Amino acid sequence: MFQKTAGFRVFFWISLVCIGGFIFLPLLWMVNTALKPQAETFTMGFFNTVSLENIKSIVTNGTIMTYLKNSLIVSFASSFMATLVCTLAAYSFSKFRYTGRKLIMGAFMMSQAFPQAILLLSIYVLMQKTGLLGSYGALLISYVVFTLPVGTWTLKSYFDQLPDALIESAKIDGAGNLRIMGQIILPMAIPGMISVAIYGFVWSWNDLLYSMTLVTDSAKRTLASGLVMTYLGEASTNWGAMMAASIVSAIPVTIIFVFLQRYFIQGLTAGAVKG
Amino acid sequence: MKKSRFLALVLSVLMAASVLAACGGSGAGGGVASAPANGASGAAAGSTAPSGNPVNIVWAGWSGEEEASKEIFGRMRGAYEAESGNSVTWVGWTWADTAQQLLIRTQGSEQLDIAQVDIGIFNTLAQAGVLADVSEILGQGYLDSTFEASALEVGNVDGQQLAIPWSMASISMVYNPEILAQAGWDTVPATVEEFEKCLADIKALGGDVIPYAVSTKDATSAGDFMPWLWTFGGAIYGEDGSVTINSEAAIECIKWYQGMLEKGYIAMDTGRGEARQMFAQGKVAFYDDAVVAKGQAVSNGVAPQDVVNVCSAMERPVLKAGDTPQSTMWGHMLVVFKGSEYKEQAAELAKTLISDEVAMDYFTNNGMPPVTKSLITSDAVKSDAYLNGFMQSTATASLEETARMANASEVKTIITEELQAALLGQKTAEQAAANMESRLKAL
Amino acid sequence: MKKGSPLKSLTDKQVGFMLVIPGLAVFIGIILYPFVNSVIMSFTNRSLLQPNYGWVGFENYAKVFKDPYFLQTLGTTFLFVLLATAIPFALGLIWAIVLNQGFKGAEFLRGITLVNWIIPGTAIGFLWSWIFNGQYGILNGILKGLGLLETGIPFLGQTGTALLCVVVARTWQMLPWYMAFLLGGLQGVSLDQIEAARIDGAGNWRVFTHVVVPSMKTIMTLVFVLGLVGNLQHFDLPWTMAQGGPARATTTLSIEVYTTAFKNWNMGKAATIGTIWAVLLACFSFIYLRQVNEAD
Repeated sequence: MFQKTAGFRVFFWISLVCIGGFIFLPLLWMVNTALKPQAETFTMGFFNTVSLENIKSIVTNGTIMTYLKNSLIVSFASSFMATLVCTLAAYSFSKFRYTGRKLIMGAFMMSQAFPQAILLLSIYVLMQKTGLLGSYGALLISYVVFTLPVGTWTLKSYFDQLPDALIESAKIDGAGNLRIMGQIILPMAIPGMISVAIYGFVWSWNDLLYSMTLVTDSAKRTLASGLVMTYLGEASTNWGAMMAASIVSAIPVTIIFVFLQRYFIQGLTAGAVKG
Repeated sequence: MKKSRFLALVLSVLMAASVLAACGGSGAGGGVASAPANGASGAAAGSTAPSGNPVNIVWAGWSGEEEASKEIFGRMRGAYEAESGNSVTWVGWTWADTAQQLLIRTQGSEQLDIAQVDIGIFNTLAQAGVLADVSEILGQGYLDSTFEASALEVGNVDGQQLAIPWSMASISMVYNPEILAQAGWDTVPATVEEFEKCLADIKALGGDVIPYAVSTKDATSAGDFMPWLWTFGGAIYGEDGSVTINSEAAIECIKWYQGMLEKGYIAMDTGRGEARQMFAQGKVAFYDDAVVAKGQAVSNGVAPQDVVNVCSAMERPVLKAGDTPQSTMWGHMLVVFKGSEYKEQAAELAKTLISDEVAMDYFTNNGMPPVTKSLITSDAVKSDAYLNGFMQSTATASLEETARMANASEVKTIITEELQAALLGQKTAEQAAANMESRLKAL
Repeated sequence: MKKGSPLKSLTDKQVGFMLVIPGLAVFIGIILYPFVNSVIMSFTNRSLLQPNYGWVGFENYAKVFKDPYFLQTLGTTFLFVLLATAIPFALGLIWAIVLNQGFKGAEFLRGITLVNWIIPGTAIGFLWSWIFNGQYGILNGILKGLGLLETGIPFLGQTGTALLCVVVARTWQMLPWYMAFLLGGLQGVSLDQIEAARIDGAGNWRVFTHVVVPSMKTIMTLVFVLGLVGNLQHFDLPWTMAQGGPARATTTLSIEVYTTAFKNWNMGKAATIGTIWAVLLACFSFIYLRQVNEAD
């Protein structure tokens, strides 16, 4: 794309070193701290002595593993729900015309701007009334809030690129709406759906505000609030264990990401690039 | 495309499975929620026949989460479970989140029977009206024979005994005798003037030591500020409840803080957590803390009987010799919830926790002073060097001015923010005091 | 003859509407209803402490507007949203260009970069508050080690630097996200157009400004707007790193709403702040949507 002129080379190397350093040094420090013996946590040593003490204590620590499990369940489930809901809505917005469509589309889009902290106040009351407060259900339903506007929008632009002719010809062949959707449209939208699923996953995975408020029981707590509750204690700022917990918890998701990143990047942008 | 389709399939199966798992989970949650309904009749029957079926009670708080007291809390639950045949589920948070989490939990449908609270959290819960009157469960006679009136007083709101005392002392100044000795101080400073000299000597030692790790960070900074404000002769509220923070004394006190920061005696971005952390590493000479400071030292490997060598309590320096040293009342209490189906069992757990054996274990290892009449007069407690330092301060301790206010945390937030603004040079001491007053009046 | 599934007998319009129903249900249940409810709540003195509450009219609004710090909170929010979007956007773009060069290991670097985004925000908050800590912080340790400093600087304890620290942490967290979007965009730029520009004698800079940026305009706008919205909602980092302090320096609107509702127990006032925020945002969104529509 760019010619490798002297100027570009300078730009390239400066950027590579500076941004690369900015991204990776803290990450390295995290790994370094996690792998230090606990007594050396506050020394500035860089991979002097490697000890699995911290990692072991996390893996054998039932609570952190429970948080991890809860996070995985809630994030997968809410991301699945959100993707399903967004796909249907986006397909409808893109390929059907009916009264009220524009209004609903506008409302979905605007809802992105509603303060989540404020929605929380009423969602809290709602969950309390429906008896869902403190359950996985409360979290996974609420997390759809994060994904609905962006997810619907991304997928809509994805569907918009699919030529209407595809649908028309299938119709002439006598295919019903259900078959067109299931066999023609959805398979083509898979990269888009993957990227929406990942978007929803990461939002739920990272959420602190909702999980801190809607779930008070440590058995149902997710990682984000679990880490705060465990390590932000007044009397115990155990950085080593905290870093180890962060790393251990990032591993399963990292593995999924390494496999999916191509689809993620492709799906996330396909609609917008050509739009 | 094929590969992506396969991946999508695997992913969807995973996700669908997790939805099922989540629904299963919430189903189980529903089961728990409906349990108290069945339990209601059980508890009613239990009151006539105490040897009912074993039940599970939920105990909430923060110390069971902390490294320093985790094990002891496990032993406490074990003691009760062995004694009663009931089981105890511990639900814990950080200290800072406890009030909020307890309040949220009482509004939801989850089981909650008994909790560990401190004076501030107790106040919040009492204001919310979710606490049961323990004199109705345990009987006033039992309470009067077990505790001193002064200890009961702290948990008494408008004639209702809403809490059982568990540990009472004060938040006092804590110091590291080794650092003081290095700076040439064999005795602790008694007046503010001496205190400043001492801080200067410690500062002169060089190194990374923060002479006085007074809290400048979160809501604890308002807690630390209050006794100093009293020391300078000020108060947030007057006798009649009017706001009196904009006073000569308060301005004097804020200026004193500013001076200490300028000279490097105190530091910004320091909360109770950081202070404890650094004190344990020998990088702080003085800070404010409750008796729990001991637990931190013990969990860092100091033998319980040697704690006084590195962590001792002292009376807060006074403005001029002869003044009364100031400190704030500190205490942990046990509360039983109105909505609990197992109030009797919860009260039984509380009785176990204050029993001589369990309370002495807590005292020896974490320094938590017992409150029962039978223990406060015992030799082991009276002769404890570590605790004695605190008890001197406790004799003259007062409740925080916000201790009985519904909007205590709002008041503390305002004090903290304005104090920080003054320390960071955004405002003069006069402006900060004036703004504290106007904001408190607007509440 | 089978009558066909019920779906088949429906008109396209009906099918289209049915497909929106799940989304609509979620929207009404957990977005619209809570929002309307919050607006109503803003006219009450509802508190988490008391089960009973009553109407107070515009009292909460009067209190918020009279609060000398409300404007400051708006300003802090604005500054945070702007910086925490613009900086990672710019760095993400540069990083995407670097990784798009297709050198050996670029794919690997891209994978690792995404790790930052997956680490729970709370852990990122801890990591960076440790880096910036005034007493035992890593940054101060390095500066002291290099002999540049005598005593540590409490980066998170100063009003001038606290917000910047949070922005740096946020940049670290979100850079991968911007990179992912923009890399996708870069890969979509037509090489023919670049070739054509080269033939016209365009240098790198000209190619960038006249070909790359224009053809990435849509995705750049999209990612920027999404970034703005995400930062406006952001809560984790300012909360775990500084709890909104010192002296309110990191108190953004979402922190303010949370503290008011769940620390000071004042749901009515929190709802008021939220409502004002939503109204302000609705105005901006309206302007934005109109421009987008005009562009179409």
